[in-house]
Amino acid sequence: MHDVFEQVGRYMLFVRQFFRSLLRRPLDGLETLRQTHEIGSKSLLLVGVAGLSIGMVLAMQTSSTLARFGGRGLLPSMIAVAVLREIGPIITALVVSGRVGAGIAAQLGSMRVTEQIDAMEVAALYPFGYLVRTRILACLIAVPILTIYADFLALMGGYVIMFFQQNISLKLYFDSAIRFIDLQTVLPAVAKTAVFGFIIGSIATFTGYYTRHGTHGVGQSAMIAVVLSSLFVIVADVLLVKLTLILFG
Amino acid sequence: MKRGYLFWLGMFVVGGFLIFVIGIFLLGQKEKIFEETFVLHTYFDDVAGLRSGAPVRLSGIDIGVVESIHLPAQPGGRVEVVLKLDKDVQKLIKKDALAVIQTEGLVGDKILAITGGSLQAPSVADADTIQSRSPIALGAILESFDETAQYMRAVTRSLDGITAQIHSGRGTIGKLVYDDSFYNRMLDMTEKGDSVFVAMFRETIRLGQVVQHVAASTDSIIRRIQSGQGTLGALIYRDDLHNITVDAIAAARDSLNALFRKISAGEGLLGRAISDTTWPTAMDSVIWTLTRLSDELVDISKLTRLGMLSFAENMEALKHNWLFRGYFERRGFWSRTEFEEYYEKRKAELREYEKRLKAQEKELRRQARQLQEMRRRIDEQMKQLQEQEKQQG
Repeated sequence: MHDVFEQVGRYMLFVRQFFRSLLRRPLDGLETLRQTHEIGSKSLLLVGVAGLSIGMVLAMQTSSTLARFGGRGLLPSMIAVAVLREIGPIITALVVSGRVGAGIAAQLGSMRVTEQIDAMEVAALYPFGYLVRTRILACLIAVPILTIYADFLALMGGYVIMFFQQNISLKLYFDSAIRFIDLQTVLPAVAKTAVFGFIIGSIATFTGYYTRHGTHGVGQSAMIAVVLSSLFVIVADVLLVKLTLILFG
Repeated sequence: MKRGYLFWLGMFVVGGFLIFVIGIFLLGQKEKIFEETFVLHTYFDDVAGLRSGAPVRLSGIDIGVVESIHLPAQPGGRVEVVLKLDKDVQKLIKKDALAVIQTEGLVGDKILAITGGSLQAPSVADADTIQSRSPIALGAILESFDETAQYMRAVTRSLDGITAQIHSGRGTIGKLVYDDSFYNRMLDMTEKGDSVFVAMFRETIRLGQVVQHVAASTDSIIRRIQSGQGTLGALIYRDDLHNITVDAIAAARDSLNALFRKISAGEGLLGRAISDTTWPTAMDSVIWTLTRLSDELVDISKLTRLGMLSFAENMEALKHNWLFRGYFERRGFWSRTEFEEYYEKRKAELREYEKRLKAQEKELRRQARQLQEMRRRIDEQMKQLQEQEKQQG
């Protein structure tokens, strides 16, 4: 228990260090872009397939239920509300935390246990900025963009099912889809994915950056990074949804 | 490969950004963010769950959204609804347009529909207020349905009872439908009425014949009198009968004198009638009885006529009744009108006879006056004869 609170305290210091590092030059922009590519572009296929599948599954699962109430015409709206408000952001965050969180933690962990980070510090480089700040910023940028892709592909997945079931046109589908959607729904939902990105990036880099106990510790860090980032993404989602509802109704 | 990733990164970021922009543009179009709009106000007592962002429709086409809804400033006030609408449709909405809250589908969301208003009215300006009509409360409709259903239930129950009674042959309609005796009685009555009518026809024809016969007889009598035939004719038209008459009159006078003497002596029925003091009372009683009898007869005839009229009317009604129409039609449908026409014709004939009779009566009266004149002359001659007898005797 003592360890848990100690880790929480260290995490707080770590976050503080991140925000302070934002003021520090150089910003390692190129490295940030490279990390964005690593985290974002390379996750696109995974996130895209997940989003498409979720959209199709939603359409298939709810189509028969809505048909029982004569509300099959509401299916695009239902898919849009579910995907844009919740499923898109949370699926993206969980997929990214699984793929990227483990990757970052393992990479930084192995650098720590092979004393590369210590070597950088000795060389008067700024490893926190180069290794941690770039990755957290990359997560902050990539996760919202990935969410947009996931949302779009999930809607397209729903359309594919509706096209085969009802031969509905794409225009009618999107017209119906945005019927119950407004900017107050979409913008907070996309904005919260930045928070998810920060959670994933900060937890992954934190666990990797402070890896101990050699190669065994690297595996531990990767696992803890995935578990904690997924858990905190979901917990944070509860709070953010509540906050969104309070702010935008 | 150093910076080869940048292409994919660029694709990734630009693609995401494009999707985001298109999404925002679509939503913005729906919420009229990028279009020129104008604002209208309307007030409702009850907005029935209408929410901000609900679509506003004109002739079923989305023309804007409900921008905001404000509670009244004080209790009992009206709820203000602010509408944000396309600038393009401003000219289509007139100042007397009406805002109505409708439900999309049976359990769908609330929307606001605007009726365009009259052609003569000017178009609305920005920030104008238009009239509203409060939505129909579903609860009130259901309550009214409930009342109607209860009423219908009561009516059905009552009809059930009536039908059961009819089925069991109770009540007038039940008996009419299930009891043959009513039908048989009506059939019997109709047959009797039929025979009465036939008898009436026959009697009327016979009466006509009698009247005709009487008229013919009277005609021939008058003709005989006029031709001097018979006693009366001879008396009136033959002068040679004078002497015979005088003798006959003298003889008659003697007989009369003898008769009067007997009467004066109180002999015979007439003498007794004159001399007997109790006789007038008896006569009075006879006359009274006769008068009463005649009155009774008049009454009876009136009642009979009334009864016949009622019966004829009943029969007429039966002929037109759906239940008996068939029967009458099978028997050869005849209407009262035909009978009435026949009756009227016969009546006119009778009137004609009556007129002729009256003329004959007049002629008879004239002849009676001649007779009286003759009698007066006879009386005068009698007096002269008496005077001659006195002078001789």
